[in-house]
Amino acid sequence: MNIEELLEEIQDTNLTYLLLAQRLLKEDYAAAQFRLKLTDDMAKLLMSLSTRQLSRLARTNQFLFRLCFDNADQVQKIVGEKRDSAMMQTHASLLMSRAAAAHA
Amino acid sequence: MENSEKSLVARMHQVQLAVNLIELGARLQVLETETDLSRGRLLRLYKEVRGISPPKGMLPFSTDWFLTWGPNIHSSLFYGIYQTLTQEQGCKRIDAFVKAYRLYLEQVMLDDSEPVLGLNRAWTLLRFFESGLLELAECTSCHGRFVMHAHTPCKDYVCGICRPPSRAGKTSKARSKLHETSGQDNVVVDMQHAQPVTDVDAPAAEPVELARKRVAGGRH
Repeated sequence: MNIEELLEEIQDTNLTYLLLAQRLLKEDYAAAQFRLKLTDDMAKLLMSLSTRQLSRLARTNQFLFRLCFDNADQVQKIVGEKRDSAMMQTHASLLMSRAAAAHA
Repeated sequence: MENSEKSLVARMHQVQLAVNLIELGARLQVLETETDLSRGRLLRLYKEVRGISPPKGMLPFSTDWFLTWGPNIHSSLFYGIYQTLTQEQGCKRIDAFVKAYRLYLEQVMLDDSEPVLGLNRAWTLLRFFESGLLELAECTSCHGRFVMHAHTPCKDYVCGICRPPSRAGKTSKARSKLHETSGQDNVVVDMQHAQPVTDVDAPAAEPVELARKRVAGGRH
């Protein structure tokens, strides 16, 4: 895969993310803010942007969003769990709900 | 007179809140505490929404349940969400409670497991935190925060996921049954087996169908 294609994918992903974020925020603001881990200011701003503005934001060679886990050990703990996968997902969700707090 | 005038919109919100809570499985005690609707109105609402009379009996009143293995993990997930909504996002208490409970249910549905924490239990949990009986302790291994008795020394605390008790999750028949029949549409089977887990919180097992719909459908 050449770099042009990859760059295009990054921009597509960025735009998809922004559009979904907007939809989520319009549907249920507080729940979306939680899912997206956005501050109030950022959530309100994103919601107010036009599609044109969103695609301008998306047009970059970097990802607009980043992993919400800062700690690789944490992720290792989650994926390394030998028990049922349901518990792994619950654990991930529990740790991420905290990640939200850390970033907000 | 004045009261009924000014409160038309407020009353509507109260009714909406009560309906939301009833749909999620709330008992009458919860509704009476969290709304200012009369008992009579709540009874009527309950019957209209659920088609049956509300179950009688006391709400669970022991903090110990929240410390047992499975319930502790579920309670911690729920309360973590609730805390983020209230402390980081400034959501109001009861709105945050309903939203956090829906977000919790969502995750449990995704995991194909049972909603071990019924709504009434979740509400009791909230009250225990508010009265200082329970606290969150940070796991020294995964840094997640877990429900604990207040004033427990927790310097070396390791959570039930990082260090599960040897028989954790193996005793319940529900689990093995769940694995045997793990398919797409065994909701009914699951629910029957979920009953013993949620004994005191009986309605919790029941409204899951409803809850699923609520989670999938509109929310306010």
